[in-house]
Amino acid sequence: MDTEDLDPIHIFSSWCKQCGICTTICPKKVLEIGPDGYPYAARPEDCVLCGMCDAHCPDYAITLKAKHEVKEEGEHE
Amino acid sequence: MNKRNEEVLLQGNEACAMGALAAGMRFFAGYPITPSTEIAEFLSAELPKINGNFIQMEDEISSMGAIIGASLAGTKSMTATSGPGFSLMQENIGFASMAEVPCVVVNVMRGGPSTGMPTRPSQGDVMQSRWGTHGDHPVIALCPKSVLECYTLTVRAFNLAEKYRTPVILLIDGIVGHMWENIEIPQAFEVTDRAKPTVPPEWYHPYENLPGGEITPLAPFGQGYRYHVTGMVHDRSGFPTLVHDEVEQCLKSITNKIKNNLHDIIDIEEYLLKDADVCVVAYGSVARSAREAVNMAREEGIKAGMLRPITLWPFPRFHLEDIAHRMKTFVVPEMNFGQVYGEVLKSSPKKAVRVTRVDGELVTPDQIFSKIQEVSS
Amino acid sequence: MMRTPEAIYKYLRPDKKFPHVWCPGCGIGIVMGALVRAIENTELTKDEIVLVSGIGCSGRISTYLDFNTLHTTHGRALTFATGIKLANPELTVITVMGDGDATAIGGNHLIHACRRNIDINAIIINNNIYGMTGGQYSPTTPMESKASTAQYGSIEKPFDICKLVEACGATFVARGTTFHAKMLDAMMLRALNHKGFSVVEAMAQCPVQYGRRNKLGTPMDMMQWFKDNSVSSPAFDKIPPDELDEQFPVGVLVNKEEKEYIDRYRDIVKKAGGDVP
Ligand SMILES: Cc1ncc(C[n+]2csc(CCOP(=O)(O)OP(=O)(O)O)c2C)c(N)n1
Ligand code: SF4
Ligand code: SF4
Ligand code: SF4
Ligand SMILES: [Mg+2]
Repeated sequence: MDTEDLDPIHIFSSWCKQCGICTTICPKKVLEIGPDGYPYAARPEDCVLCGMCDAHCPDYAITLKAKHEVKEEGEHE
Repeated sequence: MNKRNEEVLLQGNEACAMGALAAGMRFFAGYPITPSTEIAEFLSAELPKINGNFIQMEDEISSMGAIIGASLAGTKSMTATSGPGFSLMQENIGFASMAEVPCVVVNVMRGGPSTGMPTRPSQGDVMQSRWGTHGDHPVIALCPKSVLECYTLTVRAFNLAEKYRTPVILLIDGIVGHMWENIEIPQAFEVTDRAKPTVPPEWYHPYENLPGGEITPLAPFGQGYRYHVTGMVHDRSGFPTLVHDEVEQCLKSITNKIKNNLHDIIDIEEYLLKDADVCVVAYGSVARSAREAVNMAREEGIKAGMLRPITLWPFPRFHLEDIAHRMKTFVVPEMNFGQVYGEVLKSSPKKAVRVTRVDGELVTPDQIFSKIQEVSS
Repeated sequence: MMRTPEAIYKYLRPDKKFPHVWCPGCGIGIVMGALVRAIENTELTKDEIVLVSGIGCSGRISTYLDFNTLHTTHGRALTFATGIKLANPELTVITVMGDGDATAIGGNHLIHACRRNIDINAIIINNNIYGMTGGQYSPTTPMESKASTAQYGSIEKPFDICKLVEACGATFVARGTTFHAKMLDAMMLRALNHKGFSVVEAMAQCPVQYGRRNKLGTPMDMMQWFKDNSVSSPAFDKIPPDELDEQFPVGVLVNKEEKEYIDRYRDIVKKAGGDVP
């Protein structure tokens, strides 16, 4: 993975309601709650673009941006 | 002798259903109830023949919901019921008023309250048709006195519904609904079709007040005009709002479109009123007895006349006020305890008397005549 | 597949401002995300879709999406939807209802829409509570759970919505949860492509009116509970009854072909001598 791609996660804090779902659901523990109460990508390099965070954000505040195809992982059963 | 169209023997309910078809109604949803059921039965046979839709729903709440949905999809729609079913429809009638969706609701009135007297006629739902649903809302209600009028007023109900984007109630009393008469089916009459928006979708606001009081046409779902419809107080685009000005605008505009067009909506029949000093105010089947009673009074030298509200709501109050000064008394016979009597009192306090009958029988000409005699002696 | 925010931007009403009305962590937003992803995977245009909702937190979905939208009366979404679909069968009609909306006040309409097998897609957002009115118990509130009108715990046996609609004749029935967000949109897509009456029960957390009162933890804890107790339907059927605790089946539970209502009505039109278009 190209290092330029390594901040794939954008969080619009104006839509975020600080529910904490994304930080818990991320299988790679990429996201953390920052001092302002909003999540941010603490370890973007660990992101596997699984799409768990953006599909589970109830407020559509997370956009995954990547130049390459985002993987369709995290399908269940 | 003029060449006449062939006369046919029809029942009031049947004439109503035929009028609806003639007006372009192509969607009927209903639930069986005496004395309105013949309308559903007739339409269940006729609508499929012209690729119209008939559906018997699970109750009257759903019937009312279904006709609103069909109307939003662009089809003229109707339901028919009687007292208990009319009660169930009230919430969604309010929805149609608020969301300004044209549709026609036929209530063939039977004795109430509750299950009342299913097989006996009444005129007990006059006030319910005005105030049955909650909140301040506009209403149009028409009341036929004959089989022919069951036909013509149903056509008119659809025309008014389309013109004013509002539910219109047809109050047929059980006697008229079940009456058989020979009628000549009207051939030429005006039919108001759904107006189409003249602006492109980007400019379309379904609840916009247009200059000159013109009503914004209702775009059918699926034609490129995507908009929101709700029973909540809404802004001109249809979205819920609590902004004071918009709330007032929404509620005033649904009421004003009726209030500002009383001359167009209100229709009355006058009989021997010109020189009268006693005026009988009667509607529906009772107006037939009233006419007879007026004739009896005239034979006795009493200057009696009749005013028949054909449009019951909005009530022809100004018509009554216009003649009140020259009347000794208004006599109001009805098959209830005095629902229209109350309205007459508003136009002419202290000058009205009532003749009531709630035993499931028609008020007779004799009853009305003796009241006329009593007040003019 | 298009990601959620992109799909949301595409179908969002341009003149509606986000953030939306739902509480932090509310599952309804996740269900709406799944719905737009499902729609994105159909060939349908915005104009061809009618979204009909009832009244409740769930019912608010219709305000946000750029379709022909109708926010009806409490419990009656399916009745309006039936009128729309019959009047114009070309339209794809989706109804979104809450658990109270669909199975309490609207229960009668639900069972009859199933029975008719009319081609309408019903999405029931089951949060086990009356969210909008402040947490009163609903027909799906579990026994002993607390609600603002069940201060000592509910004593009413809850509905199993999927079993109910299956028994009433729905020809496509699926259950998903907000934890299984992506599975949910796959189910909705299948429901949209199914001809006949389809029901997708989306179990969703109401952290504010249900979770808090029943000490169920954070929104994520409530979703974790969905994860821990859901079993894919074939595996669920193999669990011996005495080992069943709180587990519930997820997945497509019913999928069968049966003649659809409007097709049957067309036969009537033919019989009556009318022209079928
Ligand atoms: C006829 C009627 N009765 C009651 C209400 C009040 N009411 C609004 S929403 C609601 C319940 C909502 O619960 P549910 O359908 O489960 O939706 P949720 O809010 O949980 O998404 C009730 C009782 C109403 N609007 N209309
Ligand atoms: S895409 Fe997956 S790995 Fe990356 S932040 Fe989101 S949940 Fe974590
Ligand atoms: S899931 Fe969405 S709303 Fe919740 S904290 Fe994360 S970004 Fe904010
Ligand atoms: S009350 Fe419950 S269902 Fe309603 S928005 Fe809040 S969390 Fe969601
Ligand atoms: Mg609920």
